[in-house]
Amino acid sequence: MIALSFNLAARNVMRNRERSLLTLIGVLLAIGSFVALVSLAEGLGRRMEDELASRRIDVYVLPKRSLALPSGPIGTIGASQDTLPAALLDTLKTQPGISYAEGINRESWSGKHAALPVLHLSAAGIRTFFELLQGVPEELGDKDVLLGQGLAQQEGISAPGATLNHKQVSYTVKSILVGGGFQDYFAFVAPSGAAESSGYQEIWLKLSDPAMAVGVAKSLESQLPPDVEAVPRQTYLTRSSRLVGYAWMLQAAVAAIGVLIAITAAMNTMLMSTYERLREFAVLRAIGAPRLTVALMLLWESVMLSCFGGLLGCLFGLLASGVLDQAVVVLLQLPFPLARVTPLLIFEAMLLALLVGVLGALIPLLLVWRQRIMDGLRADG
Amino acid sequence: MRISLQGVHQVFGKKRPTKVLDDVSLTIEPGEFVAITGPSGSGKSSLLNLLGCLDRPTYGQVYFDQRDVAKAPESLREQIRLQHIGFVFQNYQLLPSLTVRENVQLPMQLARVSSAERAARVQGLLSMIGLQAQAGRPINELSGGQQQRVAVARALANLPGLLLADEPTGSLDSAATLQVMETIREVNRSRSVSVVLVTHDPQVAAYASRVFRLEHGTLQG
Repeated sequence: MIALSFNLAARNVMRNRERSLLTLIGVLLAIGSFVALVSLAEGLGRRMEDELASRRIDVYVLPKRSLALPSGPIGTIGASQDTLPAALLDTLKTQPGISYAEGINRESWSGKHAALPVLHLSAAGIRTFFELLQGVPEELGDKDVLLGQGLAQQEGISAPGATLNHKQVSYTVKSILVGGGFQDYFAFVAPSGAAESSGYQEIWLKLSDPAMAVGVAKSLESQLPPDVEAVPRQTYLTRSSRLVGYAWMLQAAVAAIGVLIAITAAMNTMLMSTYERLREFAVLRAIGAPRLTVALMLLWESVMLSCFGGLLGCLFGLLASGVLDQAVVVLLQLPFPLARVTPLLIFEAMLLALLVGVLGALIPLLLVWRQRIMDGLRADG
Repeated sequence: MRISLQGVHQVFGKKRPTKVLDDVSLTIEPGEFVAITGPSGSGKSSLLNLLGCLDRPTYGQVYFDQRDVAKAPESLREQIRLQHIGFVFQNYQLLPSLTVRENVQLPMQLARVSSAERAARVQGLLSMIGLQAQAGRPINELSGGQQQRVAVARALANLPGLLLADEPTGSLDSAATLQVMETIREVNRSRSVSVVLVTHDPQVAAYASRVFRLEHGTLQG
């Protein structure tokens, strides 16, 4: 029965080529825009999570209004203006259980093609907190800069010794760091002397026993100023995931408008097609086809169109994602592509296409299910 | 198959009820050829729909052999339509997306007849209606008379005991009418299929062994 209803549905799709094509295009655009938009959030999320997870920081001390941000350009864009006093770092260094502490500041330099996300951190700090980075020198001078491999490529720098200018100061590229992933897209310079007076955006702590992070963070809370908090690594990761979740939801909400339009279009097409064929359905019922077979036929028809449209939509989304990514990269001056179309995203998009098909067939299904054969036989068509 | 209507009333509409059939009783013996005539709106099609399990009477019983199907569940009525009744409609009502062969084998597919059996039956039926050469053609490439003969073949696909034809020649010219009616008579004689035919054409009604006239919902004959 399933095969028969599928066969009949396929014949009907082919019979109404123009209408099928229009429905297909509607679904294609909706699913394509979903893939393209969500791929940006997906890419941002993955990059943030990868980078934060690869840091070896057990406790973060930061202003309460700070967001859980990655070190790269996204972090530079959203960094809090609140700072922590340099004296606090000295206090934290003396606390039990803390094996290493350093204050960090983020800033953004102008690059050739995009903004350069720069992190002020000592060579020892880089080695401690970014264990995966290779090529970190023993010392980092005031006029030295370390470039991630991706960033160096972006700036057209292939070997150490090249210079980078920032605020009339010429910095020498001392080393090109290789880490893989997001860390290849930021630069390091030595902590600024000015931080002694202006303070730090965050203070990062490494503990002698990482398992004690929650306990240490709790014990530090009582010693911190009221607008400052100590956040264990896991909590920081959870917060960043939440931020990514909001970004995802925002993109998905925008894409949902397209999907809703597609559902309405599919419903309209199916409804028109059903009204035109009420007599045909009634004849099928009259010659003994069970209601379920006729209903399945309609459902197949709608799902066939939406899934094929969804498949094409994924391909379209893949292309659109690349174009959109280019635009975002230019607008936000990012040194790397952001969008990422993952198998999970394709799966979600296809699931959505299926939903469009099922919802599109819902009203026509009800109509056919409740139709009396007699009325159908009298219908035009 | 013996079909019997007993004290059947059919009323349409709730706000302004219209009585379409008024205490109709009728028995059709196996292999009988019955014609029902009458003016438009006399209730001919409504009577045929009750015989075909397409509708339920407001009151009364509809027996297929000993079984009252008037109040039977829809699934049973679907089975009866599929296995025991063949329909021929005025405007052929074939599926335009299917070929001649596919239209004829559709009821068999619904009844899950094996593919070998299907092929054999389609062959026999198309040979009976003289359209073997057109088996693979789309249905809309056939003339009206040819389409109606395909509709007869489709109606016979599941070897039914009862063939119901609602104005089967209403859209045909006299030559096609003759062909279709000869086919139906042949089916009635050679296969012992009971035929109930609704028509307002006396020449068509003349093919039947019994003719009833319906007027104002009352059966006379």
